[in-house]
Amino acid sequence: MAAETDANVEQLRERGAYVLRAAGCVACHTDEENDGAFLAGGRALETPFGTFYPPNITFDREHGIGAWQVQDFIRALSHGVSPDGSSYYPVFPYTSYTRMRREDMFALWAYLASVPTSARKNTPHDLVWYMRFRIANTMWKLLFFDPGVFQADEKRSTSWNRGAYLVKAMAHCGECHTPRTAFGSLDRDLAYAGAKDGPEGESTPNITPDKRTGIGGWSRSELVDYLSEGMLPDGDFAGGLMAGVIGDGLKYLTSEDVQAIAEFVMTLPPIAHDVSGGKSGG
Amino acid sequence: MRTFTRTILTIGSAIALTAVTALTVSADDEEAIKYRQSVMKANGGLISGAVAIIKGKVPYKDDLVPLATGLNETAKAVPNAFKEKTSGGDTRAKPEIWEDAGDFQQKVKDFQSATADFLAAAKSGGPEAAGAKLGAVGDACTACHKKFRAKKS
Repeated sequence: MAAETDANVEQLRERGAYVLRAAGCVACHTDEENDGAFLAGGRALETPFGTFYPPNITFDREHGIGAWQVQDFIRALSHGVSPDGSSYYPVFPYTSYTRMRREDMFALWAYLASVPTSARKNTPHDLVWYMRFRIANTMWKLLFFDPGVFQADEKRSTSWNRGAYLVKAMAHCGECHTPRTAFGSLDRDLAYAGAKDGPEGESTPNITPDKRTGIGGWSRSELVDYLSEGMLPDGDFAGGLMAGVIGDGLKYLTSEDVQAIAEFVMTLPPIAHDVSGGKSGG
Repeated sequence: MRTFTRTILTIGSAIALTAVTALTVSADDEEAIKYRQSVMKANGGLISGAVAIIKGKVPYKDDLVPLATGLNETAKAVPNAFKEKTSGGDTRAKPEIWEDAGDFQQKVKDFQSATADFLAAAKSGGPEAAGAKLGAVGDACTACHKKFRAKKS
């Protein structure tokens, strides 16, 4: 009985480690530039609303999430609410993680419980004055937050749905690749069509299959190569924010999952949206 | 010529010359920039060719070793390609390359050892073995670009 349980826990943790990578937690919650401890937070994330410092999500009881119950974790991901009832800033993409299935959230929790703890104290966010009050987040959610688990599209293949789930619920590509309104909500008419003023002031490319302004000229296998290794069709290797997304995340995915993402992305409605003129990452 | 006029003309042309010099790249710098871009493009061309073979997109397995050899050789040309500190011009090379030369040179060395491993694997084990060493090459490219190459504008 004990051996069976151990094996189950191990399996759950492995699944959780995979979810961590697919969901891109490492790039924000680890201060790699300053050799910060794994998932101990502290990486500066500059946005038009100020600088955010993602928290310590190791299981340290005082400075991390060690005092949480699993349902606190589920609520944080699915509803953007912290254990004390206040709402998170949507820079934490619970707006996408809300689509994650409960099993994946449980697995992630089990994995985080096994990560070495760090006593790193959280850095307070440094925000514009009108964003300093959490009530702003509650109001923002009332207007713009649409919670709920991913619903598969019966008309589409299993692999397409897997790709859609990975993109919408975990890798949260739209959070950077969709432009935002002045309120910081996603402009859904331009879904995945690139943002001139994206994270850290860089522009993000249009990843819809528009031939002129998007990735319509890419082949499926070029897209798969890029997502799994960061290699562009001309042999160049990107060095900007996507290097972190791929290096800390997507490169750990199975080949089937990367293919599924590519399959889904290539079926996005092509939108002509030219983001040149914004500062683009290397 | 009256002294006043002469003074004005001297100062004026000094300003004009400085302005013109600041706007243009020296011929030497332009050549240096073009050269290093050629070397880096060569790296890119060779690795994308090698990857195409490894992934079976083309069937020319016997050409993997020549391409990997080429990449290992062009990697050796990288240090000199960035030897000359240039100013201005159409380049994404950041001044940190020369200001933090120690780290830059280390990253170039990491790249060279990754391409050497890649070549050794291609020679002894063909596309499959080389495939296992591909990640390290890509990581070396990325590590340097992340720190020393400017964002596109």
